[in-house]
Amino acid sequence: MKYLSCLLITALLILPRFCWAEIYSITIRISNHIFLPAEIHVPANTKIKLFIINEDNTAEEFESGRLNREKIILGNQKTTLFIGPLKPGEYSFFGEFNPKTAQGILIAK
Amino acid sequence: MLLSSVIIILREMLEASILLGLLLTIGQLSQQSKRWIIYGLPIGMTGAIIYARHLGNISLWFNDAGQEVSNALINIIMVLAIFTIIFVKKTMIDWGYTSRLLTFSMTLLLVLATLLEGAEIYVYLSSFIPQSSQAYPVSVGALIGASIGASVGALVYYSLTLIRQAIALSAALFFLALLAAGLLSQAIQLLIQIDWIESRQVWDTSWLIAENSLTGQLLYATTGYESTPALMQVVVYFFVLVTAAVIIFYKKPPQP
Repeated sequence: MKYLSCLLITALLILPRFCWAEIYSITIRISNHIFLPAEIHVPANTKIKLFIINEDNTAEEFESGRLNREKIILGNQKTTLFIGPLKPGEYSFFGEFNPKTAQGILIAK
Repeated sequence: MLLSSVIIILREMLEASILLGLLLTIGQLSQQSKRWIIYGLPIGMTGAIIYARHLGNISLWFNDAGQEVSNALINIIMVLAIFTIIFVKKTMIDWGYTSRLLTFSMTLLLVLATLLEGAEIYVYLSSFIPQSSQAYPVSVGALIGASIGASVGALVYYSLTLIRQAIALSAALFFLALLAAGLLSQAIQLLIQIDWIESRQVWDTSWLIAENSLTGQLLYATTGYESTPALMQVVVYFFVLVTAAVIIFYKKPPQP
């Protein structure tokens, strides 16, 4: 019984992978503590693979409360993270280490 | 730069500081020696520096998912340690090595919390202090943030020592349970972020309490508040909380 429920939980976790086959990829650069581009447009209700390239020598932390994401990107490194599927709307994000300049918005349509 | 430095350090310190306050209360109530702090803090800080220095390589593991995987793993171990403490303290079970098990779990928790939060602080400070123009505001901000963070932990400890012992223990254990629920929910969030788990957002309360507001940050540090959690996070959160609450508040029926 224990094994059966473990198997069931694993199946439930893995199965949805096959339902959203479509993944939309997009790249943002960080340069001089600014996101480039600072406004990105993505399709709604689609899973998004976000590449972030940090061209600065200093670390940055990509953060967004509404997107529920947080990740450190060290200086001169790049990283990947997944967001969504999102409902249509505007989702702001920022660089926690340089919140004055590193501000951006993601628009899902 | 000064203000963001205060906020970053305070944010990282809050959770670890509240945890330390709770552990101190539990240690005090069980009349344990405070040796675990003497070991735990320096080991945690050293671990933080080593972890932060290797973060560049760790991040690359599993196709850029190393940071999430290792953080999620640390969170899960912390949850297990919290459950060990709750279980041992509530059941008063005596296996002969119970007291050592309790000390070990408390040390482990302190080490891992210091490691996780310390590593981020190290990454931030080592990134901006070498830039001469930023060194001063960043350092002053860090000091202010760290002091406020430490004060909150002290506040937790002293307010719990003021109330009756039996209640104080249950309260401290319940707050630990809240932290555990938040930690596990956060581990799930990290696994969703790297697409290892699939789960959609259930609600959005950012209009009510934004995560980056002061209230949001305090709630995040104490209860693991998130404005836009995924379904799996909510399920896991309440599962942990209810299980822990049952252990903490269950009273044995009196023997006839």
